[in-house]
Amino acid sequence: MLTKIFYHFYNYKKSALNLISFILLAVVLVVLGLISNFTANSISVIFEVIMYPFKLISDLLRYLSLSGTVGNLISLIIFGLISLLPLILYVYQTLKSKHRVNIVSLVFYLIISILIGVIIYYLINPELITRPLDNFDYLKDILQIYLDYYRKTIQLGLIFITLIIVVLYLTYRFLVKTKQTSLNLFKAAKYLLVIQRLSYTILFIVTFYILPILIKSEVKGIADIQHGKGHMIFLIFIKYAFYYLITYLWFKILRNIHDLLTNYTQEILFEKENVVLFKKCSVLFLINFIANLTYQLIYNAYQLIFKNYIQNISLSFDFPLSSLVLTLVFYLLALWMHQSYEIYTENKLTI
Amino acid sequence: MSIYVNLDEIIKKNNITSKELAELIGITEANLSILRSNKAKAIRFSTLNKLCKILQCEPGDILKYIDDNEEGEESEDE
Repeated sequence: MLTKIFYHFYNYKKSALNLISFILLAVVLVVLGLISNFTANSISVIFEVIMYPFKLISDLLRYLSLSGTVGNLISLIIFGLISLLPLILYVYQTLKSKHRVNIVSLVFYLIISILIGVIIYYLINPELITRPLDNFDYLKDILQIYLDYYRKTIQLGLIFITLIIVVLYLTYRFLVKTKQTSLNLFKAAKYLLVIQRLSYTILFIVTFYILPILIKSEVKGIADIQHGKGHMIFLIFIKYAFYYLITYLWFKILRNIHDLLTNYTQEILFEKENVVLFKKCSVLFLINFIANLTYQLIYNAYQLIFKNYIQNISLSFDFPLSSLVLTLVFYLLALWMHQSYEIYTENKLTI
Repeated sequence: MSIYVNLDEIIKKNNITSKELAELIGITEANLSILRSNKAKAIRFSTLNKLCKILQCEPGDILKYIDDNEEGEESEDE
């Protein structure tokens, strides 16, 4: 069933390779969900998941290097190869396609290679930066908890920097493509499609992994409450029903944007279909805006009505300005696209 | 629409096929068909110029004005 959902949202062509990748993604999500059910108590598990592939590689390399001289040599070679993999792939691709070397791309792949190298090296030796503190045993005991956080922050920071650089590079490629001839504008949409599919994956992780963890921790928190459990359960239900609704709306919005981008890559620009897609996005953002206000109204009003029965009242109001702005932006884009479509059809029928 | 393109008769008079005419004007057969079936929104002066030159006629022979109301009334009388 999960693969069916993925097919629907990703809008991929049905092929054996895609099917396998979707099944793998589904299995990974289910397994992560199960693991979190047994072990995780907090959101920090999500960060562990981001670090997991790097940690797995570094643990294997550490094990190899400690196994002996030959193992050490092999682990060094593997470490070098994994680190330089992006650069090697870029050089191979450039040689294969016989294109000129793009200096920005070269620098990007070099930086990514170095960052991957640093991350893995740091994960092999997690006490690298804090090692000088080993001489002060009494300090080490006091600072142990802080050091753990400090190490984790560095690990995560490095991984996030890598991800940000990848997104920045994709944006740069997109801008370069749009700066070239008008035809390449359509080809450049493919780069946006990559970001689009990444957002889908993040949304899937939010739906099947992050939200269940949050619900679980909230439900655990109820156990400590003396009275008003029923009210708290209702409030949690309202809260997460709203979160799931927002996630669903984002899926729908991304799906429409995906269709728009696919149309652009096929050079379908001034068509009625695109007008409809822009309008749909506008309506979805409007629903998002209304849902947000309604949720806040219900959540706050319920607490005020039953204030005598609820132990911890938390009132808050946040005006969803971004949803409103996006509604208007997409509505204006739909109007602009509609006018462009009319001019385009008129021009097409001028003989 | 009140302006009608009256190409069919002139083409018949001139004994020329649609394909030949489209080639001579420099437009596609599909666009000529749009013009003949009165689906065109506008006609360029350059196209009209070529049509008149090739078909040896005046713009008034190609374009005809029919009042939509009159046409409606006539059909009601019938």
